[in-house]
Amino acid sequence: MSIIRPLTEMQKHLAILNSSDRLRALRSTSLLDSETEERFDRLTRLVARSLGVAVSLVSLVEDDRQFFKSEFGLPEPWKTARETPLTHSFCQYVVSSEQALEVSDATTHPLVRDNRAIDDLGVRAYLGLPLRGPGGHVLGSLCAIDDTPREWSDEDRQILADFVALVETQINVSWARNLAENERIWRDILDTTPQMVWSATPDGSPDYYNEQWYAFTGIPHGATDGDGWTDVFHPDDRERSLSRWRQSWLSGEPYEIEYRLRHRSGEYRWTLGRGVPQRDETGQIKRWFGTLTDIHDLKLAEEQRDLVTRELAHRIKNIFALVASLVSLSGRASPDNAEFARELSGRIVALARAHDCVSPGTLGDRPNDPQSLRRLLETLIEPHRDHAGTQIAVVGDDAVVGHQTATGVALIVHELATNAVKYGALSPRGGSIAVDCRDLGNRFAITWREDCAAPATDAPNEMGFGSVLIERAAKAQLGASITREWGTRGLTLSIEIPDAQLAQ
Amino acid sequence: MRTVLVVEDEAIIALDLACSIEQLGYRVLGPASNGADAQRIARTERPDLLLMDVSIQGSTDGIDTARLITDEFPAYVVFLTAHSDEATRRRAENVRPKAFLAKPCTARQMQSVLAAAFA
Repeated sequence: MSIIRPLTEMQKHLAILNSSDRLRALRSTSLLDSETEERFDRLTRLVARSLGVAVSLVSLVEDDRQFFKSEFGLPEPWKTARETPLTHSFCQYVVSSEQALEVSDATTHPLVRDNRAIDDLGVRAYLGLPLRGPGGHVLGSLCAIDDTPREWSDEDRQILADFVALVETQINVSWARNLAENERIWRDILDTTPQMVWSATPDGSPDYYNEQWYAFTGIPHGATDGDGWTDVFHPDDRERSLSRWRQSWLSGEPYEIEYRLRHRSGEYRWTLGRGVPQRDETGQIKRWFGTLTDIHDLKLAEEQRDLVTRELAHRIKNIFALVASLVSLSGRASPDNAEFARELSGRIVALARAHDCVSPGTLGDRPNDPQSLRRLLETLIEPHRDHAGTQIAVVGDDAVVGHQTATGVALIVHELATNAVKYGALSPRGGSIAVDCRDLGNRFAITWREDCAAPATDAPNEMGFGSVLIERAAKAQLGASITREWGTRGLTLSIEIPDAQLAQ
Repeated sequence: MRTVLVVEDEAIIALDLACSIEQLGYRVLGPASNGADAQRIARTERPDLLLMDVSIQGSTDGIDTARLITDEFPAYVVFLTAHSDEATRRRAENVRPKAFLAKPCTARQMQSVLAAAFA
C-alpha cells in the first residue's frame, strides 16, 4: 500500500527539490560527479565507526537522483555507481523538509516504507541530517544507515551533527575553490578578448577594466580610479562622451558612442564604446557592462570614402552645371532654339537636383542619412514655390529612395510642374497643388493633384513630349503603373511604384 | 544700375551666369576665376553684390574671398554651390550671405534670388 501524501505536501516537496536556486548552489560546488576524495571519505568512515552503522553517505540530491560524494559500506552495484534514482532515496526528504529524518524501522515508517532502497540497498534504519551549502540551501544529507531496525539515541544525533559541521566545511572549501577557478577562467577570457571590457556601478563609476584597456592606454593599474578614467578621452570628445554616458546611466538606456581615446603611443584613436545595464529581479540596475572597440582604421577608411564620394558628387554636379550652361548659351546664340534650350536646361537642372538629393554630403545633410522621397519632392518643387498665390504641399508617408528612382521621379515632377506652369495650377490663373505620398504595402503611390482657381483647359488631344517623358520614366524606369485624369479643376496624376524599386 | 561681381572658375558657366544676369538688367563685373582677381576687381569697382562660387581656383576659396572683400566694404553675398558638406555650409554662414544658389540653376531662380537680395 502506497503512502498518499496531500498534494500540497508533494508539490512543496518537489518545489524545493527542483528549486533552480538550490540546484544552482549545488552545481556551483562542482562536487556532482566528481572523483572520490579522502577528505570526505575520512568523514563517512568515521561516522560509520562512531555510530556503529553499516553504511554512511554524503548524499547530494539533484532533481532526479542522489549522488554520493562519499560512501562507506554500500553494497554493489551502488558502491560503483555512486548514485541512485530518487525512488531509492531517503535523503530527498531531508532536503525538502530541511530537517533531520529519523527512521527506526523503514518497513513501518509511513514516509518511506514503500521506498525501493529498503529491498535494493538493505536500508532498515536511517538517520539523516541536512547539509547546507552556499546561500544556506540544503544540498543533500549526511546519513547513517543500518541494515537492522534501530532506535537512534541523543548521542547518535549529536555525533552526526558534529560530522555535519565538518562535511559542510569541506563543501564550502569546494565551492570557494570552484568560485576562484571560475573567476580565474572569466578573467582569462576577459583579458584575452581582443576588446577593451569595463564595468561600472549603478551610479556610473567604472570599477573594472580588463587588461586590454591597460595595454591600449598604457596607463598603470589603479590610475583610472575616481575621475581619472576621463583623462584618456580626446579633449574635443570628452564632454560629448560624458554627456552621453550620463544620459544612459540616468535613463538606463543602452550606451553607444564613437570617440577618440589616447593610445599608449600618444596617438588618439577612434573607438566604439558600448554598454548595457544588468538588472535585478525588480528591474533595478545592478551594474553596467561594456566594451570598447578600436575602430580607428575603419573610421579613417570611412572618412576617406566619404571624402571621395563627396568629391565625386561635386564633380558630377559641376558637369550638370556645365552642360546646363552650354545648352543655355546655345539657346542664346540661336534664338530659334531658345524655347527648346530653355526646356532642356530645365530638365537638366531637375536631374541635378535629384542627384544632389540622393548623394551623400548634400548641404545640411549628414553622409549617412537615408535619402528621403519627401525631401526629394520638396527639393524638386521648391523652385516653383515663388509663383504668386500658388500653394504646393507635399503630404503623407515617406520612403527611402535610391539614385535610379530619384532620377525617374525628378523627370516626372519636373514635367508636371512645367505643364502646370503652362496650363495648370502654376499658370497665371493660379490654384494649388497637393502631392500626396502613400505607402500601400507592397507599392508606393505618389499622386499629383492640381486644383486650378479657374476651370482648367481641356485635356490635350495628343501627348506632348513632356507627357511621353512622364510615361516612359514611370513605366520603363520605375516599373510603375500610371493613371491620369483631367477634371474640371485640373490634372490628377498618380503613379504607383513597386516597393522593391524604391531603393534602386 | 546695380552691379554684380561674378566669381566662377568654370569659364562656360561664368559666361552663362553673366549673360543671365545682364538679361535681368544688372551690370556684370568680371567674371573673376580666382580670389585674387575677385578682390582686385572688387576694390576698384565696388560691386553691390558678389555672386561667388564656393569652390574656386587658388589658395583662397569663395568663402574666404567673400569675407576678405566684405571686410573692406559692404556688399551683398550670394554663394553658388555645386555640392558641399555641412561644415562648408556652416563656414559660409559666417559671411552672412543673402542666399545659397545651387548649381545648375534656371534663369528664373537667378532672377528670384537677386531680386530678394536687393529687396
